[in-house]
Amino acid sequence: MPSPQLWRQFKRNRAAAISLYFVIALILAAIFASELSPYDPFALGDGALLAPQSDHWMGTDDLGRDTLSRVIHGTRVPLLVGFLATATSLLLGILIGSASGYFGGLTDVILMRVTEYVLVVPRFFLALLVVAMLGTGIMKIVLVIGILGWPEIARVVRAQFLSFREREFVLAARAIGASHAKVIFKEILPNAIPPAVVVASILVARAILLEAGLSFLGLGDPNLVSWGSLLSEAQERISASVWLAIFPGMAISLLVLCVNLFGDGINDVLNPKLRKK
Amino acid sequence: MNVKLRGKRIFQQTITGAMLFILLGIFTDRIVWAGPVEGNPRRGGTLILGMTADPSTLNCGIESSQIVAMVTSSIYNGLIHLDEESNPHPDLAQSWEISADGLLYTFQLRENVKWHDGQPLTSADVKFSFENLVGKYNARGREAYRSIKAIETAGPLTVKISLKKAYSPFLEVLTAHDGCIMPRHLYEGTDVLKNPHNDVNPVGSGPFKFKEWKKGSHITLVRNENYFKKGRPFLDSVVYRIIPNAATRAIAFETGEINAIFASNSFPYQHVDRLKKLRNATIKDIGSPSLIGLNFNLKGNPIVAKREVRVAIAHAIDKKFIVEKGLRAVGKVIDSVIPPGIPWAYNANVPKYPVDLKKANGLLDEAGYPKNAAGMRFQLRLAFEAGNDNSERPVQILREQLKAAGIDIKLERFERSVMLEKIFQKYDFDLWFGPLTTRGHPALGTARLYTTTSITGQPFTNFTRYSNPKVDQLFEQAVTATKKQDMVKAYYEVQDILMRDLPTIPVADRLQLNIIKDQFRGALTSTETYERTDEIWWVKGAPVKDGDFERD
Amino acid sequence: MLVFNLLLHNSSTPVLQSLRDDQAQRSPRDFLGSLLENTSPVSPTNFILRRLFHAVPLLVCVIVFNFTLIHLAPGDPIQALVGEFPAPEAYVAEMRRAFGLDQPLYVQLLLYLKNVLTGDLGFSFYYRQPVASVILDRVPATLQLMVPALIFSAIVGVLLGILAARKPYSISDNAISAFSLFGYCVPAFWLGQMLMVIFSIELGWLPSQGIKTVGADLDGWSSFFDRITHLLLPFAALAIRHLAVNARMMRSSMLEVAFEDFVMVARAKGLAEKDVTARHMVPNALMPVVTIIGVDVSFLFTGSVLVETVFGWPGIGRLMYESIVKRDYPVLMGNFLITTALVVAVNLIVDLVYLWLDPRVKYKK
Repeated sequence: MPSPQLWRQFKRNRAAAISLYFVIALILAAIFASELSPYDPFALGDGALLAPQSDHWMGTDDLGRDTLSRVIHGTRVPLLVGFLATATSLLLGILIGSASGYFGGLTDVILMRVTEYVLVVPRFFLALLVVAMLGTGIMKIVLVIGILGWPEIARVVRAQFLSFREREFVLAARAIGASHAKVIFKEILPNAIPPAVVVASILVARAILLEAGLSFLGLGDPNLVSWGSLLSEAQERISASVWLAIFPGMAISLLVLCVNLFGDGINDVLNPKLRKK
Repeated sequence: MNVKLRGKRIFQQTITGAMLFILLGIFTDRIVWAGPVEGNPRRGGTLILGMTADPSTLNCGIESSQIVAMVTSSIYNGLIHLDEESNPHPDLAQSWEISADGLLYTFQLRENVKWHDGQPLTSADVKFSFENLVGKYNARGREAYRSIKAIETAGPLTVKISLKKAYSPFLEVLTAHDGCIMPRHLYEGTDVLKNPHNDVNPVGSGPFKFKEWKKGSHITLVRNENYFKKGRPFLDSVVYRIIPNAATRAIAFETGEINAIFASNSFPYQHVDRLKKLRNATIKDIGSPSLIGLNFNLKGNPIVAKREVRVAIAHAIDKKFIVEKGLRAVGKVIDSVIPPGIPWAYNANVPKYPVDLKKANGLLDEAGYPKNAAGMRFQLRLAFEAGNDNSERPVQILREQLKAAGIDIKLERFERSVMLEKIFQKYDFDLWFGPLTTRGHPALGTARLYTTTSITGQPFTNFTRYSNPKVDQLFEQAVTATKKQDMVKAYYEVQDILMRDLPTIPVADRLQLNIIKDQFRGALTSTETYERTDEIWWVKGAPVKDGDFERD
Repeated sequence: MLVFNLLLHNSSTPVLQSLRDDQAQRSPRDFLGSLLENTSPVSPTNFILRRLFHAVPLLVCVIVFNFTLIHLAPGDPIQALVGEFPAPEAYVAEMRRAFGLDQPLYVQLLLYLKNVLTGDLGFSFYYRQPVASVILDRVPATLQLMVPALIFSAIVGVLLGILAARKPYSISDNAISAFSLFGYCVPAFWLGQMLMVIFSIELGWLPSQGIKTVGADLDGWSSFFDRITHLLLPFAALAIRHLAVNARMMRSSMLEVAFEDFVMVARAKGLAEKDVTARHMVPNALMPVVTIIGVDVSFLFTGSVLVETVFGWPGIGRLMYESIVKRDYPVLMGNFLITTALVVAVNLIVDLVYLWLDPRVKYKK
């Protein structure tokens, strides 16, 4: 858990701190979406395609549904997908990266070869394929995006393991008879996690954008509101109802921005050797 | 003011008025001239159509998709063609007789019909096509072709088709779409799928000859000078431009780069409002009926197996809202499984279920499904096809409307292949919403949905697994009826029963729109989606004298 | 102002560091993943051959994996071809025979692999043409979009990064950094939509859809001009993101390199600042950025699907989506294959550039 010093250091990076607060605000908005929304996001209305006005700050869509409420409710999906998918990638990546970096040899060669393959293949196409074939559903999307995200984490973790494996304290631990597992989990892993977390923040941003892309192509979950699907609906009517595209897109950009800034902040804190001027 | 000045002013006004009047006259004359043109068709011009994709092939014997038919209907002929009310008219068959028991069809072919390569078209071509091409591979006319017992060529211009049992819509299938006659001398003994005449140089008997096909760009057909109808076709050529993007297609029509878009998914429905406003074009509903509705899994879900539940759902649905908002008003509300688009068979007096939320809620309470704390009674899965314009928006609306009755709907979007397997083969669904074609005759489109023998697990057969011996009997009667009024009576009764049992709640019949520039006349409507290009003529062509062309 | 500065800048991004480690692993000498201390320079030809040698199993794996995935998925592609009526048995049988679907899976796979070697990618279910021609019809459109975007975002991005790093926290730096922050947080397809709204719908300066004006048979300069106006918006939507990423990376990289020993040595030697920048700082700073560009190519394909959808651009991105939805297996597999091959090829070029830039290799020569 981050120590008080790290936290203070982090707070000094105002941008990152503000971003963190913003993300927390969005998470709260997601949790309390129903309370915050002026209307039910699915409630049909007769006023279709209304421009932003006093009753509907972000206008309405073609079925008379309030865009503001839909944007607020739409926070849930990107946040859910972003964090859960990244957690999956972290888990997989740490597993693979540590095995590869610690045991070396053939395991390493094979695993790194596989990593390279996954990095080269256009992963979005793969995600498209899997989601289209298996059917839509939020958990499937989380899994697919999560499973496709492990290479970056694995590489970073592996690099850490490679460098730490020969350090004195590790060799000492082995000398006194600690098992492999103990060495991995108690000695090396705690050092490997910080850089992994930093990479994870990029993955969160990417997962959010991936989900938006999948929803935009019509592969999202039809029972939920996602900013990507809002943009897809907007695409059809874009010449007449521009506002339908503006707000969800701004929301995505804002969230991604904050996640990225937050990640930068964490990186600055956890990587002391790369200090600012 | 003094008289002189006043006089001058009056004079000026008169002159101005006269000039305006003359100018108006000139312009009106042009407008009038661009308006309804009486008189004979004119010769010349090129019709440019916009299509959404390349046809997969130009072999109408194997493929019966609408895009293929759009092009092949100009290259090939069928024995007959259909008008707006699905009445048959002569095409390759100059006349025909149907025996009193409905088992023997005798066709007399026109004389002197030649293939585009000069060979004569004979009854042998008809027999070959029905036995080895369209009769074997065509999906839409499968029932009709399966009922054939034997085909006999009694002379080079006579074809006798005997059926195993009477099948009243038999003739309807024999159009250029589902019964196209192809040249035996080019297809016999070859691999029909890989025959070069499928896409390199199709040889037909139709009004236009194939000139070139540049994949992804366009297909060009030119006038068949030896067409069997004298003086036709009027147009010099027909060009099919491939424009995959709907917005681009709409713009191309507006700017005049293309001058017609016929249905078959090529019509850019999202832009219909803008296109309706165009003054130099006409949009027509070609009346190819369909049944867009909510279907129940009668045997697979105990809740919807109860009739009261289905009736309650029917009362909860606001069809008008679905059509206006969900289908962008490109459709009409219907209340019978046989839509008004088949006017002779449509029964307007079926039981109806107007929107009545109170009644819906009451019925569900009575059926033993009270609302829980969250206001919900039970959950149902509503399946639909991904990317289908007829389903995507309406299901969102349905979910809300059914929520008001306390039914929690879980939407399940399936991509087509998966849907075909899950819904139609494995019956793994509770509700399914989507479009089903009815064709121009209930025996073709409706029977396959509600007869017991159609519960086959094949796509688009009786997937609700509705089974009622009385309904089976009525459909059978209708198909084997020799007199039209018996057929009608049977269908009326079928509708009455089906609308009481409600295996399907019919919601809408989607309009199938064709749009064509007013410069082109003669585009008749027919229950087929393509237009008959040997009828169309261009107002700026050369005049044609009365005796020089064959009237229809 | 301080907050504003802090908002825009960062000393180094997390990816940068991982890239350094990354590159160390991927450098040509490190081909078995083990750290070699004494290295001899590798000649480019050897390097290329070795990479190509590695590419083959990669492509085979891609084929096998996709094949398995596609054929395990539920649903029958043949039935999906027919309209709303059950296909007659004769039709289904004929189609299955024609497409070789009546054979056991492993036989189909082997046949496919064999055919790929001769350049035969199969026959499309939907288009009824050879897959190779379906894809090759659309590849130029995508390349017309991606190659300029890649090159432009690489060159201009790097230049902007150098410019920004020159005077950290100055106005030009702030401007560039703000722009790049915006650029990589915005989804490319939304950017495309917004650009379309502004330049096409509101201002009417540029067309919004398609690759050229339909029906107008232009040639020579008018055709070229027509194409350019259609290209501009989707190109911008794709390029801006990568430009932003490159600029940001380059800036961070330059700032780090500024404090390396060899730079101080170069300055101490009395070299002009310009020379220090150009000959010492830039090549070193470029290295991780070059890696990024390589990695980005596969993301460019992601962007291409979405941007092509927004602008109705007839490229292979859109083809991929359509073939997935239509269950056109042969096109799907062929598309995956070709896309992966393209990515491998670009990565190879990127690695060569890296090789060229690496000062350790240079000094050994």
